[in-house]
Amino acid sequence: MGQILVAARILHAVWGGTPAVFITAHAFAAQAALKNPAEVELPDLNAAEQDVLDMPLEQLARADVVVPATDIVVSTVSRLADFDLSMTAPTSNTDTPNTSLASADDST
Amino acid sequence: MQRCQPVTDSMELTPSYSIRDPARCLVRTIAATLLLIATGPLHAAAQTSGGTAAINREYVIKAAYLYYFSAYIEWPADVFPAEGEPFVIGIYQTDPFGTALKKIARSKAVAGHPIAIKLLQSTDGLRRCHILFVPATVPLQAQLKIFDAARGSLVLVVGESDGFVERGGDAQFFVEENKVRFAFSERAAKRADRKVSSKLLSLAKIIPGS
Repeated sequence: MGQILVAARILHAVWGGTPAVFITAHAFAAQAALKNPAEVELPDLNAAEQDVLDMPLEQLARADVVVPATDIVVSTVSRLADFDLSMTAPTSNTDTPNTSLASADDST
Repeated sequence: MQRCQPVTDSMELTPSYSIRDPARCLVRTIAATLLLIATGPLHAAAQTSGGTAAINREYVIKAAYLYYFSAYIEWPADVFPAEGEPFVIGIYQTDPFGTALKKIARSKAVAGHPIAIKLLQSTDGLRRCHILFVPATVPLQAQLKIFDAARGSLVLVVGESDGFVERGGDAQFFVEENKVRFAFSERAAKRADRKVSSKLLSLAKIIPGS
């Protein structure tokens, strides 16, 4: 999660405003900081794996072995990165700056 | 598609939007490159070898089942020599569970007993386990030795290779329709001294004559 925070800070500093990414990264960093110190030694399971450990027996029997990776933060950062590299400028002066996540998605 | 270009008089820029400034373009390119480098490992973690973004939870599910085996099987009181003695889950030779089973051991207990995970390299100490997991990587001959060593004990021997129960194991995981299922041998399911709960048996496939 530290990597996401660093990446968000770079975007925030350069672009002057990527609040959604910035807030999300801070939320994840804060969540990691709240963990029980006794568990710090073990690497984290991803969300899909952690779900399994919290399942009751009946639900476990219905749990899919292979599930799609739906880490929203990963896909969001990856889309933003793609958008940045394209370096597309607006085609007219009436274009308004829009650095929201939605516009990044639409442009790719 | 228009690329970054020098600022001209005809262009009206707001202070917060200066994409046409070459210096800013350069800084942004560097920033985007740094972003890709910083998030590179995250991309890799989300990808499987096939290139499709997917997560395989087989061994996390199996780890959770091992915990439920311990919780839904009634172990005689005398298998715990002293109060606070751990409930021991043994893994034979190679641990395929990653951190999943260790996380369970840290956060759960079995009838008030903490859970200990032990990695066994031989059948020595096998009888000190309550559950022994035998991964599919253990060769057939070694499996037969394990069955011999566990015979007559209360150790629940759980495997995952084809025919494990038929060869002498107590329980076996198998994957069917993208779900982890498990089978119990008829002998293990009917043991009076290590009673398997009806709830667990309702989800199990019972292998008759085993």
